[in-house]
Amino acid sequence: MNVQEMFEIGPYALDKKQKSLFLNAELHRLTLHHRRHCEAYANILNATAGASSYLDESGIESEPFLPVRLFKMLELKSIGRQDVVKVLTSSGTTSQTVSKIFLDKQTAGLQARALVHIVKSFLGPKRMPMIIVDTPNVIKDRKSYSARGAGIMGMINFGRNHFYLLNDEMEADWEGLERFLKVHTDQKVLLFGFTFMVWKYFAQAAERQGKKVDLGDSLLIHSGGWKRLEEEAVDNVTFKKVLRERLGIGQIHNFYGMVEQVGSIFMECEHGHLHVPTFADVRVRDSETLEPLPANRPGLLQVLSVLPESYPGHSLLTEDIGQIHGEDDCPCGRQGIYFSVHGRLPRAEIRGCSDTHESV
Amino acid sequence: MQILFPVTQQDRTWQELMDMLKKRPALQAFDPLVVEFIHRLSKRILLDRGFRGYAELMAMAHWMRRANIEQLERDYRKKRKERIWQPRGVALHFAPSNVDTIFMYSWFLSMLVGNKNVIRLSGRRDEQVDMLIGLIEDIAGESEFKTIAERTLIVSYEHDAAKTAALSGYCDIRVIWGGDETIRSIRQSPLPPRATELVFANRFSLSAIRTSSLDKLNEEQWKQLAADFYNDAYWFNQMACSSPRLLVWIGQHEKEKELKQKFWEELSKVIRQKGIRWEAAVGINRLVEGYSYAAKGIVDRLSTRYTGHPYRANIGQYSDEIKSVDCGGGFFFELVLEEIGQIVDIIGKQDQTLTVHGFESEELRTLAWNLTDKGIDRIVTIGQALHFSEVWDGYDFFVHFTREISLRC
Repeated sequence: MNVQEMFEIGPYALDKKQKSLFLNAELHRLTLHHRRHCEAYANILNATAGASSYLDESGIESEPFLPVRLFKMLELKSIGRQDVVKVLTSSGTTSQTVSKIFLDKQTAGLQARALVHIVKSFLGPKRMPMIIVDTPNVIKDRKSYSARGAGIMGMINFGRNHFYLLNDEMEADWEGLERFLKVHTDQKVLLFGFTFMVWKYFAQAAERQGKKVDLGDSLLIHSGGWKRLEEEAVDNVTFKKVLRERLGIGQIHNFYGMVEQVGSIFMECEHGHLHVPTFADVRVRDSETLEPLPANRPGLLQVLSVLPESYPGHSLLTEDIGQIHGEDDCPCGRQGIYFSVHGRLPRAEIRGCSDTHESV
Repeated sequence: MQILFPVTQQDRTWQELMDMLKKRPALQAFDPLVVEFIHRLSKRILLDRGFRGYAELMAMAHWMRRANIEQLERDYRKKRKERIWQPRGVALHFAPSNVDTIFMYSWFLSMLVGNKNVIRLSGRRDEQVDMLIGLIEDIAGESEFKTIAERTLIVSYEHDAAKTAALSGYCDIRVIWGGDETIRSIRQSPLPPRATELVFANRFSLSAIRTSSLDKLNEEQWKQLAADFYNDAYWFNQMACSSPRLLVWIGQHEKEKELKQKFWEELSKVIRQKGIRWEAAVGINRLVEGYSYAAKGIVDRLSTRYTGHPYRANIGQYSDEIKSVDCGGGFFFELVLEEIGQIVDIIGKQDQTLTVHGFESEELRTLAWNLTDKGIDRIVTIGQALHFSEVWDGYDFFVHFTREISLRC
């Protein structure tokens, strides 16, 4: 099996055995590919265990991984500068440095197709009228997108008659929304936005301004992390409840993904579980020792994807804590590993001699 | 502005307190009352169970004992000879928040030569610092130490350029701990024309071991060396300016590999005994640093694919970039050089402490003379990296905290 064949079957069609056959071979091929084409990556493999132990195909657990933060420190790519068609950057709202991900035509194409393949399985084949809970200006510069811009660009083709809910001041256009809903009465509406923005500028703004909106038959896809909502003690259950009650949104799917692995996203099913598609896999490692952990034990998430050909990002150790709940047996019927994300690994508190500047 | 000490004066504004402090006459060097105060505080720290877990505070309390202060006074007099050294007046100290004890050394040395002192502490203080302040209040609150309480002000405030400028306006000498950014930020506030300044910038420290010297160690000596290195590197989570981050192995030896391995194993034993454990993120920081230096081709071998410490990163292609490593938590670069003299080639101005094992003092003296303006302000035996002394970062505090009256008649 190769990646192309994955587009011919459903994104959750493979069971454990079939999947490991495909993934082991494909991920290992990518390790060797990046080792040959990315000097920095080869240097890392050489410095850790002399690389020879990576050359035998002994399964996903022994495949090397890069800490995801490395993409903020180094420009890692397995293609020549002339082949770069797009550079993705992380939004950088919580840190000063941003990740830089270099895409060639092939990888950009694979990412776009995989995203379509996964999301379509939730939306069905028809394009719905679409509300984007953001400002149109975030996708103005088409050469270099922020994570927010890239996320919207990735989703925009799933809908039609796009309506941008927010202006540059992050204020909701309630009248515009009403007009939009009137035009599309009796049609299922698709909404997309970043979790925090949907919460703050849509749900909370409606509550604050006493707006009661009924989106009727509608489906929201949202992503972007829970960090800022956790600060307000809002979990997924609360989030869904409030959106259902205040805005009347019936179907809500979160997804977990990152700019370092665009395309092979992990969608939340009707039972609140994040699902691993055929293009990807997830492992959980002990946050201190990094040894692999069995299901139901929380630890650092390692995400694997067969899409990154142009940069060595097929096996990444994130700084997110999560846990695997099971494999092939989610009541929703999708096959593959299902898991949940709990939040970020707390930052190191240890500080150096040079530390008073923040508070002097 | 929060006034941490003296508490009895909290009905006054800090400006009033500063005015009062500035008007008080300075003391003579090594005033017996000051020596007694420091000694009394030392005793209280040593007896207090609450401080037991803080090895660096215990070391400081030992430094504060009367016997050591008296030795300090003898050194002072030996250095001063017949010259007349007088206090400068008001010393303003900006303390770093993590290396809790530094402000105490800075304050005491300044007070011992007669200065009045104002100390600004960070708002992000560890609990042991507040415990220390409590003890200081307790002792200096006694009437016999009124003289000291009248000449000391410990404050805390969040970033506020106006307050920094106002405090700076009072001082005769400003002492800035806390590194490059802090120095840049505080230097935006001008000093009075006659005031001087001592600054403590970001530093890098390293260690050198003559490989062959390890072959002669007996088990007891191995243990001692490992324990000493542990203290240097693991106190303050390897984040102090003097904590070694690079270990240079000097000279080749037939059992080189074995000896190095034994060294790290002995250190690991100490780590296990001490039961030190950091948050998981510290391990991830090691991993990220290790991988990034490997990616750049500077490091050619890492001790692990994962996070275990002591984490070793062997330098294959030396670059000054290693000096910007800042993860701490048991991360060590390793480098092999033929002889100690070659270390000069990798020394830069940011280098502060060189801790050594297995060298003759004559060759270290030669090395020190060869360093000229390059860097390294201290060369000490392994185990003494964090022993504070009155000569620090190239400054002699006795000289910089005083002014000299030239008497030639």
